[in-house]
This record gives sequence, structure tokens and C-alpha cells, in this order.
Amino acid sequence: MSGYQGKKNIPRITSDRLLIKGAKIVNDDQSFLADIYMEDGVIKQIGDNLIVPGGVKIIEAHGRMVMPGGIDVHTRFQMPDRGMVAADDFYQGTRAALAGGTTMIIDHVVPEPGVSLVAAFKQWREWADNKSCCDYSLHVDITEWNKGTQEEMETLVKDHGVNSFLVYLAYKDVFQLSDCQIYEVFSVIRDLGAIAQVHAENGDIIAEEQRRILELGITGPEGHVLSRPEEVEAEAVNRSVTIANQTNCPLYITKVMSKSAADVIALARKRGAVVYGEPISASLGTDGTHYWSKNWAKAAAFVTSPPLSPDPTTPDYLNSLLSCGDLQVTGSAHCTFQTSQRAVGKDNFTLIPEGTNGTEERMSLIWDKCVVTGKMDENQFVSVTSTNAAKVFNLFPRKGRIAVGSDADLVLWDPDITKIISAKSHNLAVEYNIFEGTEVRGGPLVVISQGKIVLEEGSLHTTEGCGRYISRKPFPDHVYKRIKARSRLTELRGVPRGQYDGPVCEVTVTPKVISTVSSVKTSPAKQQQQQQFTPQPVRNLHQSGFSLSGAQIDDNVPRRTTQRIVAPPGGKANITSLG
Amino acid sequence: MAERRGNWERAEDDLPVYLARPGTADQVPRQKHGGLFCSVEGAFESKTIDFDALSVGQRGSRTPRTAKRETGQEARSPASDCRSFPGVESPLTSRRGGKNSPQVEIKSSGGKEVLQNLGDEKSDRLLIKGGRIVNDDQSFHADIYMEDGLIKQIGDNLIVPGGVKTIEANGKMVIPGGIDIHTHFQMPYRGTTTVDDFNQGSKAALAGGTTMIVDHVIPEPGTSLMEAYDQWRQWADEKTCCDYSLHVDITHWNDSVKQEVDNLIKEKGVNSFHVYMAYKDYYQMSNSELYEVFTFLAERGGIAQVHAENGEIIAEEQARMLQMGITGPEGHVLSRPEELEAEAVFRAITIASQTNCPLYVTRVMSKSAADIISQARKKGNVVFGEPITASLGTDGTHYWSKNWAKAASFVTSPPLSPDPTTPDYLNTLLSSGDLSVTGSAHCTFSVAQKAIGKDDFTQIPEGVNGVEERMALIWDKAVTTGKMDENMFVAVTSTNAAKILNLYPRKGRIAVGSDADLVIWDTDSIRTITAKTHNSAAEYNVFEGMELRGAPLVVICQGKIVLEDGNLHATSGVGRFIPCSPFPDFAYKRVKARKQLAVLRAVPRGMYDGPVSEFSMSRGGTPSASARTSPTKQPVRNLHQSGFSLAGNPAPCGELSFLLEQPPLHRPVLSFCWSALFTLCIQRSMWFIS
Repeated sequence: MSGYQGKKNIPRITSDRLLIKGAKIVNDDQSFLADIYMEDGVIKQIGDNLIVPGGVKIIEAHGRMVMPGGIDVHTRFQMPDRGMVAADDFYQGTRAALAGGTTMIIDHVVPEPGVSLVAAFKQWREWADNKSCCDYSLHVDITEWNKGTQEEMETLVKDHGVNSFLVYLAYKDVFQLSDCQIYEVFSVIRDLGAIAQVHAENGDIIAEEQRRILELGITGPEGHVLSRPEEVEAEAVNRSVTIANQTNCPLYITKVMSKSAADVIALARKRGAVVYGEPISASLGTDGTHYWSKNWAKAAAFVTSPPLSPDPTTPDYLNSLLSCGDLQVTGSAHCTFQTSQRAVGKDNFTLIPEGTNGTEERMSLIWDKCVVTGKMDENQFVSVTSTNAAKVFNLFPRKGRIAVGSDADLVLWDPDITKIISAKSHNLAVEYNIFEGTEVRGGPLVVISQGKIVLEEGSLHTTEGCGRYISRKPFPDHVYKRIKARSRLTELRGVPRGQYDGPVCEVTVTPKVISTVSSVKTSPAKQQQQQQFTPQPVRNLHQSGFSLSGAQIDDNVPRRTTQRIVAPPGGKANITSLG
Repeated sequence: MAERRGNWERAEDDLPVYLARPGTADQVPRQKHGGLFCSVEGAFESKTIDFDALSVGQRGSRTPRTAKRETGQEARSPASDCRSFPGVESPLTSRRGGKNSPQVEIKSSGGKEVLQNLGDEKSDRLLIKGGRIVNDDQSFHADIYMEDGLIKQIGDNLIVPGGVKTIEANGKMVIPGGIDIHTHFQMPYRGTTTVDDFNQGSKAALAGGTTMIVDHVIPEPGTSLMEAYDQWRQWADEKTCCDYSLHVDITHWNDSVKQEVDNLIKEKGVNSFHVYMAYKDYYQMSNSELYEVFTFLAERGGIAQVHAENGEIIAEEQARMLQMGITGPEGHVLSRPEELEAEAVFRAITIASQTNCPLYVTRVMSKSAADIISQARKKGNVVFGEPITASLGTDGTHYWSKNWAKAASFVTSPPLSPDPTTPDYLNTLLSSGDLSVTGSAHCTFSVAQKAIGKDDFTQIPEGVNGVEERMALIWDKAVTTGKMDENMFVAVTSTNAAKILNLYPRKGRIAVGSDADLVIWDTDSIRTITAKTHNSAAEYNVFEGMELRGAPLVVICQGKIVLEDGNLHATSGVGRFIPCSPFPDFAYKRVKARKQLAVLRAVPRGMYDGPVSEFSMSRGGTPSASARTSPTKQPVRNLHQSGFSLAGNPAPCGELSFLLEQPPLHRPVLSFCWSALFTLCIQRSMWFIS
């Protein structure tokens, strides 16, 4: 089992019927011993002494762990970038995913600004349908914002099973949206019942810093991390949390790369915000010291945005937050480029295509860094690699759980396998692996995707194009239960007051909203002023100590004789004397 | 009343010194010149005490203190100003009406000295005897001698010339006059101006113990900063009663503004500039502009001040509120939740930290914003937070008042937090040093002016009062509660502000050579704030009904007594403009040190000579020799102008083909050496990470 050199060609099992005997089933909530019987890619029975038809292929688990196949929530296979295409296409990428124990990926559709979202979505579908070896789904990135975009988002949610959209706070003048636009996007996303994802970095500051650093003569990959300090990431996370809170929209931060960003998320969650953080394999497994490598090609291989933090204690910290639940899901942000592609930016770090590998290493890395070290147990491991992702994106319990009726995407996990990650042995098309030389403990022994064995004894038996598109419904319970409850509560009401009829200063022409006060008056606030963020201000008022002073001295006597005033209409009770 | 006056006179004449202060067992103050009630010739000649007028207030004051509260005792009445006494029972205080037991006595020289200084009634020479000098670092007993508006001597047994007016402080605290670092007097607003002009406003400031104000110059977007500055100078020079200085708000940004900022710093004595993150499409600046402003200010030694609120989201929220039919003042606070303030503070800090520019956050109104500032300070950022009188003294529950005029009078931005625990929290952070200075953001409008927005809260002119109440309020909320001591009080009301403005030690300290701006502080007087008695022209006072302990007894501004016995003797137009020089040590010492450390260095690498992928388009195959020979020195300029171009922006790529034909000369340098040497350029990282 050491390495993948052994090319023993065992006859491929094509039967759809599969029985795993003597397995320790590990779900996110509990582990138990049972047999699993699968047919037609679906788990049909779980239990002891199952009655199964003949001709079933049997796998003896011998008490090893069987867990739901991993879900890699963030990949960018075959991503076009300035005429180049990411080195790992959907075939190569999903193969690597399966080799690492991941049985489903969610890829990002990146429409060029100006291109229709639906058109881009269809393009990605076509690529993936032809090549993907495992089930997949798609996030759609919003790279520009106009009225048409909103309609397209609606179409995507209703007809195409997309329930997550990514917006960029970075990449100024390309993908970046303004705060206003983000507010509107989030409002639309909430109404559609989708998840708002953000690439959180402050693009404005980055643009300025990049210019400064290039002026300093720093053109190598170290300039990438110097121009994108982690503060800038934390700032953007904070801002998106704020906007999401305002719009009451669930938020999902992709690529949590630094301690400060993770801290902001953890804090926001403590304050009750509905926000999810996604650290990626790279941020959990390595750090940004390599940007200073003398080997340009190696340094460039680490270039991704937000960059890996140069603080070497970051991976450990992020693993801790992942274990304690402050971060919930893990992706890989797998987006690989050949060294020759990276070399486009050899004289200017801003041109280096961004992305790191990680889809294959994700599960093993987390096992090694979290479970082996005792930060989390096997059940939590299943949550962060699979179940939480399925819940957030409304795939649960079809994915992310071993239960009758769920998809037969399983991994037989061996906690004792040790292997050394190396570009020589990985299943990717690139020359560099950012985890090169890392020894990880724990790995998949057998991987079952769609009820078929795809990894067995170190050999992959994947079928190009067998991956199905999994459509996702809006309003995932895991996310929207809270949002719905809050939107009922956060109804705001005006204070019913009499019409102000005191003097009004004359001003130079101002745009005024024509009085809507009458409508306020007719809707006497039925009270229960429940603003989640204000401690019942109206009620407070009645108990307010403010009235200590008795009536204010206004008495409607304007003191300033120099001001022109409008005389109050007579006879009417003046509202200024109510308080 | 007549009897009382009789008492007063009798006391002057007859009362022996040792009977003058019955009931004071503790802290016997130093007694000089025969004690408190010795007959002093001409003691009242240069003053305008009108006993008949004062007696109105005194009558009220003779009721016990409890009754005083109920009636909303007038703040300025001498009864409440200068009579309570350490250890004296309040009924006694009330009965005696103050004049019989003054804490502080002011006397002119008599006899021979008068002859020597004939006609020198308005002598600039002033001696405070027996005061306890309170600076931000220590307190000590000493006499202070002032001349020509400067402190000339401090110490015991000073040798002073004749003809000196002497103030017997009797052990009272003498503190540096307050500096209100944030005011908006006489601010134009859509054709009207705020009701407190520089005269009215600075009078109120002096009445509260503040001897210097720093006003904001607000040029309309598109107009010249310099012109606006001159305009403000003109207004202020005509009318202010105390020294002043100016911040200039940058409401738009371009090269000519940059030039003007430069001139203002170099020639006009302005070292602090204010930018807005709110007021979309009006004053608001984008992140890039903020970055540029901050970078520029960091170079020139200015302080970057921000109004921190996310204007874009506010605009969206305001539209939503109005749509929902919420048009009253409560819409103001609902559309500006404190999160938006905290978010903007966070962003401003990030940008300031990137540009290594000292940051000053004006108007810290909420817990969350204050928390962000204190976190940033813990991380080492150079950031100062300024809570204002309103945020330290009251909260935003009043926005829901049924009385529109009252609710509207609280409208300011960022709004007062509806969380009633906010003032206490901010006072605590102020005491712990996480927030550094206090202003008032005094910007008052009459009810009629506020009523511009009676049907639409977004039109309500923004601003609250506070210049007069600031010192007493902080004393009451922070010192009497034991959160801070008197030295810290001086620091947050005066010294820190002077340091930030680079006016220290001229202002903000009692030392030889400093300006004679002093306050004799009475720690025990109690007064109730009300619009009836305040010195501002506004009809509403946001602190209405609040009872505050602690008040100025005597205020000396420019070496002249401007407040005594509750009477203001302010002279319009005597205020001088105090120029502030750039690079205040308080902020820039650290910044300078960091600049030296934060030098970034490129990693010296051999040229990458592997294959280069084709991307978008290739422009010819000419090898660019220059790029090869100096890989790090010469960034190709036009490459980075395009910014980050994922979108397929073509960048010159002359190296395309030569790389493939490059002989492997540099191979050893670049070969894949797995045990690569990691050069950790962590000087910068050390600062900003962790």
C-alpha cells in the first residue's frame, strides 16, 4: 500500500451490487459496527446479517472505518485564465479527488465579466459532464452586477440547481464588486434562498500595494504575499460579515488563509452571525514561508489568493479552529498551473496565475493534522470533510451520511497508512506539489463512488464522464432555519408620532420624500419591537430615566428670533409637548 | 436677601480667619494673606458681579440639595458653582449661599502696589496660590505665577512683582484647561448655520472649563481647501473667545487637493485632516482614495482622522427604511447600526496600518467600534479613538421618543447606540487608555432647523451639543465612579489632545513656559444640566436633567480670568489661532521607527529560465535582454498598470520564445533543489502578523 507504483491490474468489478462486511460506520454523529449493502449506487440496507441477493461483491472491512466520501466544496478544475487553462481538467482533477477519498466536488463557474451566467454555467456543465469521474455540482461566481444578472441568478436557482454564488471583494477592475453591489447581491441571494460566498480580500488596498511593491523592485512571488497582508483579508471578511448581517443573508467565506481572518469569523459566529468559514488544504497544511524560496518555480507554485500566511503557526491554528467548530467545511481550492504557465509572471508577480493543489491531499492532511494529533475525533473528521458541506449546500442526507437511501459514496479509511506526498507520485498534471515531502498518516484504502469501487489496493479505476451533476435546492435547512426565524423578527417599525407642527427652518432646495407619515400613523406598532440588535428600544423608553427632567423647555417658543419660522397651526395639540 | 447680603458684608469685615471655614476637618489648605475673608480692597472692582442678579439663583440654592435637584438647579448660578466644600454639609453650603465660604478667593493687590501699577486693573499678572497642580503624570502643591498669558514660575514662595492679582486656591485642583478636539461651530448647512457660532460656542466651552477648541473646516466637495480654511479662520478670528486650532476635512481627492494639503501642513499650521467613509456621493471616499490620502499624510507628518461608517450600506439601509415607511428619527439609528461603524473602523485601521499612517477615529459611538480600536491598539496599531460627550453621557434610546423634537435633537452620525450600557463601557475604555481623547462634536441646530427632516429622517441636520458639558461629564462618569484618577482625567480631556496636535507642552500641561490656560476644578459642586441654563443657543440639551458632580470654579484663558463665581467674562475675538506642526512625536515616533524597519526586500534569485506558457497573445520573440540582466531592479512599468488581470488583459511577453532556446547556463542556480534556502523577509511580517 506504500505509494501507487504497484500497477497490479485486478479485474475490474462492474457489478452494481456491493456489500461491505464488518465495517465501523462513521457518521458525523456516531460510529457503529454494521454491514452496508449497496445497489444501483444507493445504500439499500445497513445492519447485521443482511439478506442480500447472490452475486454480490463483498468487501471485508475487518472493523476498519467506513465513512461518507469526502466532499471537496471548492475546486477550480479546467479553469480558463487568460487563454490558459488550469493544468488539471475535470478528468485529471476528479481522479485525484477520488484517489484522496473525495467522492464529490463542487466546482466554481467563473464567467468572464460581460458573459452571461447561464451561458458560462452551461459551458462548465459541458466540460464536466464529458470528463468528470465523480459526482459534481457547481457554484457560480458573480463577476459583475446588473439587472440581468439578477434574473440569471433566479434562473440558475430555479432551473439549474445552483444554490451558491461567489462574489469577489478582490481583483479590482476585473471581478471586484463594490459594497453597494454586494449589498444588493446578498439581498437577492437571501430572497432566492441561496448561500453567499465571498472571496474576501480588499482589492482596492491590494491594487495600491501591488503598485508600491513593484515600484520597490520586488517582482518575485514574495511580492504576492507582501502585497496581500493578512490584515487585508481580515478586513474584507469583517466587511462581508457586516453586509451579510445587514441583509440577513447567510455567508460563506471561501479560502480562509490566515489567523486574523479565522478570528474574525469565530468572533462573528459568537455574536450570532450566520457565517461559515472554509479553510483549504493549503492553509491547513503549509505556510507562506516558501514564497521566499530561492527557487522561483517553487515559490510561484504557492501563489494563491489570499496568499498562504508567512506565519508558520497558521496551519496549526486553523486546524484548531476547524476542530472546535469555528470553521466548518474544508475545500481544496484546487487550481493548478504548470510551471511554464506560472512563468507568465516571472517578471511581475501580479501576472502569476493563482492556485494551489490540494484535492487529493485534503482528507489525509486533515486526518494527519487533526485526528492523529487529537484535535478532533473521527466523527468530527467526517463533519468537516463531508457532512457539513452537504448540509450547507443542501445535499444532506443524500451525500455526507451513511444511511439507507443515501448515495453509495463511501471510503474505507485506513488510519495507519503512512505516505509521503510528492509530485512524483501524485495524480496531478503539475510538476510541483506544495505539500512536497509532507508525511501524512491516514488514507483511503477503498473508495466507492456511485456504488462502484474506484480505488482499490492503490489503483484507480475511474471512468471518464460518469460523474453526474447534482442539483441543489435553495433554502438549505441547516442555513436558512435561522435566517427565516430572524427575518420574521427583524421587522422594523416606526414610532407613531403626531405630525410635527413646530417651526421649520427654511432651507435651500432639498429633495424631500413626500410625507409618508400618515401610513406610519395608521399602522400602530403592535409592539413586540423585536430588533435583534437593539434591546427593545421602545419599551425602554417608557421606563427611561430621561423623563426625570420633566418636560423639555422647548414649549415651542423659538428662541432664535433671527430664524424664519412657519407658524404652527392653531388649536392642534403640539407633538412637542407629548414627551 | 438683604439679610444675607448683610451677612456677606459682615463676614468680610468681621469673621476671623479660623472661623471662616467651619466644618472642614480634612485637608486644611494653605492659608496666605490672612486667610479667606480678609478685607481686600478693590476685590470686585474689575469684575461684574451683580449681587441682585445673582440672588435669584441663590434663593433657589438655599433650599436643600434634594430640592435643588427637583427644580433643575441652574448650572451657572454661583450657588451651585462655588460653594460646596470638601467636608461641608450640603445644607450648610446651601444656607450660606457660597459667598460666605468661597473656596477660591481672588484678590487684587492693594495699597502700594496699586499705586505702582496705576490703572493696571487688567493686569496680565496672575498668581494662583496654594493650588494642587494636576498634570497628566502627577499632582503636587505649588503656586503658579502667570504673566502675558504664559506660566512664568511654578513653586513655593515665588518672588513676584507687585500688582499681581492673586487667586487663593485653597488646595483646590488646578488643571490644564480642557482641549475640545472636535467642534463644529458656525458650520454652514444648506444655507443655514449651526446655532452656536464661534462666539457662543467658545463661551460655552469656557463655561465648561475648556480653554481651547479645535474646529473642523468643511470645504464643499469640489471647492478649494485653502479658501475654506481662510473662511473659517476669518469667522473664528472675529468671534472666538479662546484659543483655537483647525482640522481640515478632505471631502474630495485629486492632485490639486494634494497640493493644498501640502500647503496647509507646511504654511498654515494644520496637521490633521479628516476624511469621510460615510455620506455616499457627497463626502465619501473610496478605499483607494483613503489609501492615497493616508499615504500622503504619512509622508507629510499629518494625522488622518476618519468619520467611520460604511456609507454605501447606510445608503441602502436608508432607502429600505424609507420604503418601510419609517421616517422619524428612529430611522436614523435603524439605518446606521453599530456594526457599520465597527466595520468602517476596522477598514480604516487596516488601510492606515498598510500605509503606516497614524489614525484618529473621530466620534466613537458604540461598543463594537471601541472594541475594534482597543484590539488594534493591542496589536500595535497607531490608532487613537475619540469618544464624544454624547456617547459618554447618553444613549440612543431617545430616538424612540414620542416627542419628535426631542428625538431629533439626538440625531448625529454615527448615531448614539440604543444599547444603554454603551456610555459606561466607553468610559471604562477611556479610563483604561484604549480610547485616548475626548471631543464634543458640538454641532447644534435649533428645532426649526432639525425640522427640515420632519418627514424624512435622512434630511435631519446632524449634531449634538456637548462642548460645555464635556469636562464635568467625564469627571462625573469616570472620576467620581473611580474608573480613572485626576491625572488620567487631565490626560483624556487635555494632554493627549495636545500631544496629538503637537501642541504639547504649550497646551495640555501646567509647566513653566506653557500657556496660562488653567482651570481650578471643584470636585464637589453638583449641578443639573438643562437647556434652560446652558450657554449654547440650542433649545434642547441631550443631557437634559443629568446631575453632574464636578465643575470648573475658575477658568483662566490666556492668563485672564474668564470664569469666576459662575460669571463668564469672555471677550469675543481674543482667541488666537494656534498652528500645529506636523510629525507630532506622540504619533510619529513609532511610525518613524516602523518605517525604518518595514523596508521590503526582494529575494535575489537567478533568472527563471524554464519554459513559459503562452498566454493570451505573444508579441514577437525578441528576448528582452534588460529584463534578464536585472531581474529585480526593473519592474516593467506598464505591466503592473494593468492591475491584476485575470480577465485576459494582454501583457507584454517578449520572453516567450527565448526561454525555450535559452542555453542551460543558469541551470545550477535554478534547478529544483528541494532543500531550498528559505529567505525569510520577516521584518515586515513581524509587524503585521500576530
